Order: sequence, then C-alpha cells, then structure tokens
Amino acid sequence: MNIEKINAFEEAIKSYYQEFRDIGLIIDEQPDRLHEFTDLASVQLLSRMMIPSEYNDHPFIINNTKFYGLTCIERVIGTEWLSYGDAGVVVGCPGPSLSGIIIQDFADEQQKEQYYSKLLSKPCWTFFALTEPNKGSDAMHIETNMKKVNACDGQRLLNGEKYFIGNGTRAEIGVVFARTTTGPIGIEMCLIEKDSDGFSAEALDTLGLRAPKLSRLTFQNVRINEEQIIGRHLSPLKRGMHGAITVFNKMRPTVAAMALGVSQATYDYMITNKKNLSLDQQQKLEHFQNELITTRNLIRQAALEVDINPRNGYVGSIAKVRATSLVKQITQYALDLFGEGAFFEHPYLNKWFRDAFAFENMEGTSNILKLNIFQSYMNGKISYV
Amino acid sequence: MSTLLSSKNENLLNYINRFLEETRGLSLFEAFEWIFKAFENPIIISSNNYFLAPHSVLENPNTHILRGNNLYQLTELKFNKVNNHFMEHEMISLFKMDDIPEKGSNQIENIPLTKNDFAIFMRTWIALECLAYDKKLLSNRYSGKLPIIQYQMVKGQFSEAIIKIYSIINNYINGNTTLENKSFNVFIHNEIDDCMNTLINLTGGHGVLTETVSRKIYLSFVIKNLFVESE
Repeated sequence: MNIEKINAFEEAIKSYYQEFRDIGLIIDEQPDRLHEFTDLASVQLLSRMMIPSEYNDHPFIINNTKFYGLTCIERVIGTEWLSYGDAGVVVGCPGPSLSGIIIQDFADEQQKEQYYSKLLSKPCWTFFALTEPNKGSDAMHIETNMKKVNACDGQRLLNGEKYFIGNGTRAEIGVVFARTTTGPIGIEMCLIEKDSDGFSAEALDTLGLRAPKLSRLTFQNVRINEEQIIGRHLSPLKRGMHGAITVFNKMRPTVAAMALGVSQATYDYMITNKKNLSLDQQQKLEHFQNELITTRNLIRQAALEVDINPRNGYVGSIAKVRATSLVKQITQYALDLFGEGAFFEHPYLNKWFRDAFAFENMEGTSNILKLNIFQSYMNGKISYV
Repeated sequence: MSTLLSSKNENLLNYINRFLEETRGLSLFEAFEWIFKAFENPIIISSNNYFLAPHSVLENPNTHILRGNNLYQLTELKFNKVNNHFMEHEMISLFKMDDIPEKGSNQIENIPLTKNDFAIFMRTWIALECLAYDKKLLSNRYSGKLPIIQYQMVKGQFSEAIIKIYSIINNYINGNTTLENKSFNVFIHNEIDDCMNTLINLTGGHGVLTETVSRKIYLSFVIKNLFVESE
C-alpha cells in the first residue's frame, strides 16, 4: 500500500473518533450499554475491520481504495485514532479482534465460513482465550488441556480456565488455546461457540479499560470435534504455538497504538484546557510532544516490519514498551497539571489515568518484551544496533 | 526505629510508628479509621476543598474537619458527596466542600497532623500493602520451576520498590527537611508514584482487577491529587 493511500486512510478515519469519545465515559460506567451503540458508524466501521474481501461486502472505501484492516499499518493508524476517541470502546467493540488473526492465517474454509458468517449477520463479539490465571500469557506453560476421548475418533474434551479474556461474557465465538501433549507442538487452537456444553464465562471488575468486560472462562469437559481444531491442515510446527506468536507479533503494534491514542488525547486535552502554563510546564509538554512523535514513528515502523514478515516482532516490542511507559507518564502528569480535584472535575483525565494501566498487560508485559528485545539483539536481529 | 537527625516531635514519630505497625494487613477503610480516631475526638484531615472519610467516622457527631489550622464541626460545613465507584467499594466516601467559612469554630496552634503528613502516611501505607500483595502473588506463581519472584528481573524491580519505600520513610522520620518545603514534598510523592507504577506492573493482569491492588493504587493517586500541591 503506498503512502498516499495510507495518508488518505488516516485522514478519513480521524473523523470517526468523536463518536467513541462521546460514548466512552458512559460505557466505562456501564459496560453493558455498549449494545445500545452498535449502530454508530464508527462502531460498524471497526466491527467490519479484519474481515477479508471474500466475506466482507462493506469495506472502508476511500477514493475507490478498499480497506479491510488486514494489514498492520492500517490497524495501527485506525486504532490510534479511534483510541484517541476512546480505547475502551475500541477493545469492547464487536468484530474479529485478536481471534480474527488466527482465523485469517490458520483456519480452513469451513471454519472461516462458520466464523465470518456470525460476524456478518449481526453485531457479534469474539474472544481470544490464551491467558490463564496461573501462567499469564506464557503459551508454553498453559494448563488448559484438550485430551482425546478415545483413540479411534478425533473427539476431545477441553478442560481448564482462561483469565482476562476481553468480551468473554458477550462473545458468541472464539479461539481457545489448549495443550494436547507435552512440548511446544502440543499446543493447539480450537474454535468454540458460546453455547457449547461445559463452557461458562464470568465478568471481572477492572480499574480501567472496562468496556470489554474482561472475563474468566471455564471449560468443563467441553466436547471438541476434529473440525474445530484450527490449522489441522497445517504441520504442527506451523499452527498452535506458532499461532500465538503470530498474533502477538501482529497485534502488539496495535496495542501500542491504543496507548499512543490515549497519550495524544491527554496531550491535546492539556494544551486545550490548561491556560497560563509556567515555563516548567511548557518544557514538560514539549518533552511529551517529542515522546509522542518518537513513539508514533516506532509504532508505524513496527507495523511495516510485521507486514513484511510476522516474525519481525522486536520493533513492536520496542514500540509497545515505549508506548505503555508514555501513557502512564502523561496521564499521571495531566492530573498533577490540573491540580487539586482534577480526578473528579476532569472525568476524561480520570478515565485515561485508569485505562493507562491496562495496556501494560496486553500482548506481553514490558518485562517480557524487554527480554524479547534483548534476545533479538543477542541474535543479531536488530537493525542499526 | 531509632532517629539520628529528626527534629520532629516525639508524639508524631510515635504516632507514625504505631500507625505503620498496627495497621499492617488491615483494610483501607480500617487504616483511615485508625488515623482519624487516634485523636480525642475523630478528626478528618481535609485538603483545600475535599475530604475523604470512612463511613463510620462521618456518622460520629463529634467528628471534626481539620483544614489548615482551622477546626470545623461537621455542622459548620456544606459538603456534597462525589460519586466514585472505586472508593465506595472500600467504604470510603469523597466529599467536596462548598462556601467554606474562612475560619472554623476553633483554630489549632499545634496541628496534630498536617495534610502533608496525612498524604505521606496513607500513600506509604498503601505502598507497603501493595508490596506485601506482590510478594505473596509472585511467590505463588511459577514460570517453569521457579516462583516468578525469584527471577532476576523481577527481584531487581521488587528491590527498586523497596528502596523507594525505605527512602520515603527514612526521609520522613529521620530527615530534617520539612514537608512544608513544597519542592521536597512533591519529590517524595513522585517517588511514591514510581513505586506504585512498579508494583502494579509486577502484578501483571492481576493488578488491574479491582479486587486486588488497583483500588488501593487508584486511591493513592487520588490522595496525591487532592492533598499535594503541585509545583
């Protein structure tokens, strides 16, 4: 995709942020009310993103170019500006989200039909269930298991628990990671519908980013047929664990873009609403402006790298570490800048402050990403360094 | 704790030592109660325009509000509750005062606890509670065969938090610099911010659940916002 088309896409998508900003505080207080807003143009736009052309008759069209949100660069630009409106609503919106990457890259035709037909019939939420209460997102050590009922047929029983799963209570379909045997090739992915016997979801109360209603999912002897195993037509080395790595590499720049959107929103709020800045305050804001530029450059470069090769994850790690650090610094500074009572007299600052903590845990914590950056350097993968 | 440098009065030092020892492991609500009920009559420390109060203290007709060196009876003040989901869960309410009379019915020369003392007390207490939570959580979670707390990177960050907390308490108890020095007060609170950010990061996803540490961390930043005058 050339730069003119990307710029046109960015200009067009900027105009959608206001709707998200308008409903962000409402959904933060009452996440269930998100259902009332699924007719908004911005929500419809996001819920169709990441649905490929074979299944999507309503792509985002700018100057006769169709955008399906299938490239990382489209996603980081779109996500940044919609998160500038409200990041909670972005994560809480119906649509493919993380599981969409798995379906797009690893599912067979039958699974794609099953998944996308649900998304196109009505506003439909999906989930991506990898993280566990004891193991976090460490895919190598997950405990949820999927054992064969008997050796003759392909039927399996899924048992275990998943934690911090976005939209888990409202999703109709999603992807679950489970272990079938020991070792890295023993990780498999399966497609599950919410009405499966033995599947339950419970919402968790969170400080920030409340719209997606993070959930605990429980699987008790859920029957899984061979047709539900994602990537069964691929070699074990090119599915399962490889799927988890691919999703994280492809979506990490998008999480960084969410944090950047919130940071930019906070910066603009300060510039617009705080008058008579002292010299120190002006210098601090200039510092944040430079941080925003640096972080945006990193995120976009990360997206381009991942679009060339999904294994190029380290730039995304660098971008996300910076973005999650920036969003906490800037949202906390904004409360200091507006002084006593800012928490309650500036509700957006309160929300952005709370939301800022959530990005840290999505698609790898900063500690894990720093290890990844270090490893990439040691392996000689990092350009220029 | 022995003191070498402090010029603080012994009552206050005794008070903070008792507070940190006796409130370990209590709920936020109980820690607030301890502070306000330590005086002859309950005294709520207010900022310029707001005060935080556990429900039980506010129900006591003998409760007073201390704003600067003015002591107000509750009936002397107009105040409205500010709705807040997170603090209400901890049974602590926030109130905004309106049309505050310039002088309360009593003026106090020797203020038992300034708003700066109160902010340090509560934020330090919250940091210690979060440190204890992190220790428990990370000691019981494993990556491979080792508890997460035993990984070098985690140990390093955990120690950073300990260093900050120790420095804050040492500054307060043993140091000569007064919290009335605005720049120093802001510096101490920025150190507490760093500590809180480290501690919530270490908890991973568990830290953003309201049932764990996030409500306490939220309240820590609220206290800073209400009670610490920024530079």
